[in-house]
Parts: sequence; structure tokens; C-alpha cells
Amino acid sequence: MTTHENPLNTALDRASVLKLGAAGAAVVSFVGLNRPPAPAARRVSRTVPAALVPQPGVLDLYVNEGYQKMVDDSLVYQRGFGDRPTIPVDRNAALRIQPRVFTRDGQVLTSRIYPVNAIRPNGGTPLPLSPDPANPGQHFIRRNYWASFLPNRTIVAETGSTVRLRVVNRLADVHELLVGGAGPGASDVTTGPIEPGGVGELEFPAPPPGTYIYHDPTNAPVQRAIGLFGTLLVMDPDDAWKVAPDQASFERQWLWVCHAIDPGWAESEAAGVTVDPVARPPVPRYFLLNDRSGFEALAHSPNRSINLAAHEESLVSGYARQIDVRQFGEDIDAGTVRAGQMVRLVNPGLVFHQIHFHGNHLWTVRRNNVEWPREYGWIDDDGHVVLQQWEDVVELEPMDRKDCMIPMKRPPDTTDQTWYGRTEDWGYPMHCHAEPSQTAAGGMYPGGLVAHWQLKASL
Amino acid sequence: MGGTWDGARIADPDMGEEVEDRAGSGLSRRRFGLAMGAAIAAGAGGLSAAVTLLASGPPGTVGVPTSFGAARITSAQRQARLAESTSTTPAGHAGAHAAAGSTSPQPVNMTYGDHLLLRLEIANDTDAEIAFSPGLLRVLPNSEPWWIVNRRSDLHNGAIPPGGRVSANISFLVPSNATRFSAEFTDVGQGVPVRLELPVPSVSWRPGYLEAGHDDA
Repeated sequence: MTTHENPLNTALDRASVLKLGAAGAAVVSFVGLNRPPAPAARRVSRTVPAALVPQPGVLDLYVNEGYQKMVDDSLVYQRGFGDRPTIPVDRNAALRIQPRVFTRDGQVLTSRIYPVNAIRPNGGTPLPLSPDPANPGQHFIRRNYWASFLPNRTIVAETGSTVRLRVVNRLADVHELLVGGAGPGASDVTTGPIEPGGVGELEFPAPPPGTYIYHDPTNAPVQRAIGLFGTLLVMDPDDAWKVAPDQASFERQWLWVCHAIDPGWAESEAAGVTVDPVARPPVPRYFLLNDRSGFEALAHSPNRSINLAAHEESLVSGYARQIDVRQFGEDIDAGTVRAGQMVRLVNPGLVFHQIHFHGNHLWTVRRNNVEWPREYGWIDDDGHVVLQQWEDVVELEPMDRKDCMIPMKRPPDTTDQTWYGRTEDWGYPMHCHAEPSQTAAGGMYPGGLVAHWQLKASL
Repeated sequence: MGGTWDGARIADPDMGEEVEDRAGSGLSRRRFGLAMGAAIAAGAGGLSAAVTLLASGPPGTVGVPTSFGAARITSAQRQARLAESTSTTPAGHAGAHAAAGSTSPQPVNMTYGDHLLLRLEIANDTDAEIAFSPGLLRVLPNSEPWWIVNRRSDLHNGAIPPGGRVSANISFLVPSNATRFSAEFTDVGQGVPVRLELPVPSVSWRPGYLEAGHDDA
């Protein structure tokens, strides 16, 4: 294991991404008239190599390449950290892992939920304990009860565990796996460069609770943008419904991972051409939330399994309740909690996002695993307010992680007549105010990074 | 006229039988069984799927070699998207010929007023599965600089098995003032995607409008 400082981050700023909207459209528009020459074909072996012999307590990752279906049905070349070796033309190329959990007792479990033994919320929606008689239409919320579904690419590490990785580089160029801020003093931990065909090893104790991004820093941000990234979520098993001990409690949590894809970058790399991210800025054509876009992210696909996964992993839902932002963990009655649901925003992508929920504001509690103060906040060097607060729009820079509570409360502008007459679920959109990210394929709207959330009808 | 997968299994276990038929005329379990039978019979003839595809086809269609076999557009039909009664502009002449563009009613949301239905055939001559998705086919109208992605297809993404052949109806919304179309097929049979131009056969004009006539095209 070696450590080094954060790599140069050549991500886009907000102004650039807004410009990309028009620039992207223009580039797309002339692809057909002034198309660059087709890349030389690259023959690939159709023999799938053997996987490493498994070792207890070790997670094996494979740097694979392959094609990923986009929301417009196109197949785009991507790379990724998979859980088995695959060949590029494999239609199920392993470009991401199913969620894994490093437990405190040294196991590596495959589990879509955490805590692994908690109750799965049907369709992702936690049911309340009972109606709240003092607040019609609202409910008491179960404390320390419901599991949370996690998206692919997620590695959970319990505090006290040791993360042990072997990374097999199956590609023809050098790759690396780095976990940002997970080392001593929030330094990075990394396998170091892994030669083609080589195996890199990385072992480190689970860092403090929070969200971390693992990615390939080679020629940043190019390899990350082509798909070599994922999330490390560190949880304290003794406080599994808090972002960290003595910090915000939640009913359940959602891990939202943003990503943007420039197929041009990907195709150049596939052809063996190293992309210069400065000379050739990215023009993302697809924007994804937990690897889904548009109607698939919104669970309106004809494929029920995609829809179910979107509901379980991304589409926030729950029952109205009273919350107290002064202390989310306050008990009102035995087994209940006055808290909302925690949305952990993670942006390994290329562009600034402006996450905007309708219906409720979000209460931002942490950024990059640092809890924000509740009073005496300040303005940081970039002009951001550092203070826990209600936010209408949550800014998310590339490589940023923010923990935000959605209160699941009665929308403040709802009249009594409307609220007491409510008989059905209320749905609200979530969209990104960086508008190009709402499109796909140069203009399909709403084909990008979109979601919605539901305030379920009273029981 | 639904899509078929000769000798194929519906590709993605997540997107197979569980998936609703988009066009209402796709591959049901019964039709899949029929296709399997047809493929087995065809295989006894001894010709590879790609050779068959390249060698013969409807008049005016051209097969193009790919890294794994061949691809061809075997028919092209064009139709008004909206009925005249729903027109937001003065009703056009429904019988306008495709070669001169059309005067179809235009949708109020400024999207395209015509509908182009292409039938794509692909043959896989390799001994490995080849990924397929209707998004591999895109069209370029001569009146716009945009490549257009599909609106709908009767086959979902999946894989063409070794020796298999697929036939899919893929539809696009296209501008009414277009008089000619180009088509490109993305060959993902290798480690690098390669775009191939597929000749578009003569476009025939189909009476009626999209909602009435697409699903049983």
C-alpha cells in the first residue's frame, strides 16, 4: 500500500458545464457531416481468463472494458471495476461490482442492503410504526429498524474492519485504484500503478464513517470518466442508523452517485489514443444517477427489474412525520425517531450538479465527511456557506460528497384543507439545475440525471 | 410484422420475458418457439447466416460486412406522425411522396412530424455472442445536421447468439422536410466501436398516421 496526495482534479466548473449544453449540441449536430475517421478495429480475444483464487476477507476487482447500454439504447464503450474477468464484447461485461460489505469480523459479504440483517423495506419505502395522533396525516417513524438498499459499485466497510483489495488490470495500459481521503490524516490510499496483466494489492483499516470515492486517478479525470470509479461507504455497526456516532440519525439512507459520460473520450481510449483532458474538454452526452438515466432512472421503463431497482436504490419515498432539526435522534416514544431520510450525494462525475428537490427542502449536515456547524458558520474560500441549513438547491462539485436530510415532512405551503383531504401519494420531481444534465444524446429531455420522491398517503 | 431472433434466445435475462412488448407485436414465447424452429431448419442448409444475408434480399437493399457477419436494412417506410384532425398547422396532403418530403401535420411541441420505420437485419457468423441494441442504428435526414436515435423498436437490447440472425423493426421520428436519409450502424463486435454506413432502400409512403398503423407495420 502506498499513499500520496490528491491528484490534479481537472473537472469542469459550473460555467463550463452550462456552456457545454450549447457546445455539446453543436458538436453532436455536426458529427454526421464532418465525422472523424473511424478508429482502427481492435481484435479482442474471446477467451475469458480465469479469475484469481479467492482468499477469505479479500475482495477481488477486475479492470474490465465493455459496452454499456444508454438510455437511448446506444451501446457506449466503458471501463469499470468488475467482480469477475470479462471480455469487451461480453454483453454482460462486468463493469461494476454488486455491493460488498467488509464486516468487523473479517468477512466480505455480498449484500444489496445495509445493515445486512435489517428488514428490507418493500419497494424501498420504510413503513411507519403507527399514526401520530397529535398530527393528523403524519406518523411515528421506526428507529434503527429498516435496511437501506445500495447501488452497484458500493463497497461498505464497517469501522474496525480492514479493507483488503486485489485489483487485476486486464487492459493494455496502466491503471490504478485510489481511495481518496481514506488514509491517515485523510491522505489517499492507492494500489499504485498496475501494469497490464498485473495485480495490485491494497489493504487499509476502515477510515472514519462517511463516503469516499474509489477511482482510477490515471490521467485524471479521464479514466474515472470512462467508468473506473465507485463508492466506499463506511458505517459504524454500533450506530448503523447514523452518519457517524453522535451525528445525524436517519430512518434509512440513499446513496446517490452522479456520473457523466463522454462517448468520444471513451472511444478514443478504446482505440488506444490517450485523451488530453485539457486540449479536449469533455462533452458529456449522458448523465446518470446510480447508473440510470431518464425514464429508467424514473422507474418508467418497460423492464420491471430496472424499475424496482430504481425504487429501491434511488427514488426516495416515505411517510410524513414531525422532525426536529436540532437533534435528529430525539426519541418521542420508544422505538421511534424524529428524523427524515439521509440522501448521500456523491459526484465522481465531470460536471457540477445542482440537486433540487421539489416539495421539501434538504437539510445539509456534512460535506466530505466533515460535519457542518449548527451555529457560527462561515464562508469558505469558494464562497460557500458552511453551516447546517435548509437548502433549496444543493451544489455538488466533482468529487464532492454531501449528506443531506430530506425531512419527509408535510410540504410547508400545503393548506389544512388540502392536507387533511389527501388520499393518495404525492410525488415530487428531483432535477438538477445544471440543465444540460437533464438531457441525453444531445437533446433528449428529460433523459438525464433525474429522479422523483414520494410522500406516501397516510396509512 | 414483428421482430425475430432466429436461433436466438431473448438476450438479457433482466429484459426478456419480463419485459412488456413495446410495439405490441414483438416476440412472444410462442413466436420465439416458431423462430427457433425456423432457425434450426435454415441451419441445415449449410450456408452461414451472414453469407445468406449478403447474398440475397429485397430489391434495392444492400448488405454490409461487419466484424462479426453482416447487416442490412431491408425495408423503409415513412408515415405521418399525426392525424390531420390533430394538426396544429393547416392539414397537409397525406399522400405526399417521401422523395419530395411531406406536408404532414406538425406537432405543437416542435418535434418531428413524420415517422420512419426501418427493418434491420443482422447476422452473426462468429462462435460468440454479439451484443445488440436498437440504438446501434441511427439515421441522418438530409434536412438536418442531427443524427437521430430510435423512437421505438420491437426488440430490446440483448445478444445475437453464435450463428444467429436478428430482424428488428426500428422506428424514428423524422422531420417532414427531409427527402433523403442516411443510416449508420455501430459495430460493437470488437474492442473499439466502428460506425458503418448502411444503405437505405427506397422509402415507401405509408398511408394513415403513426398511432393507427405502426404496431402492425
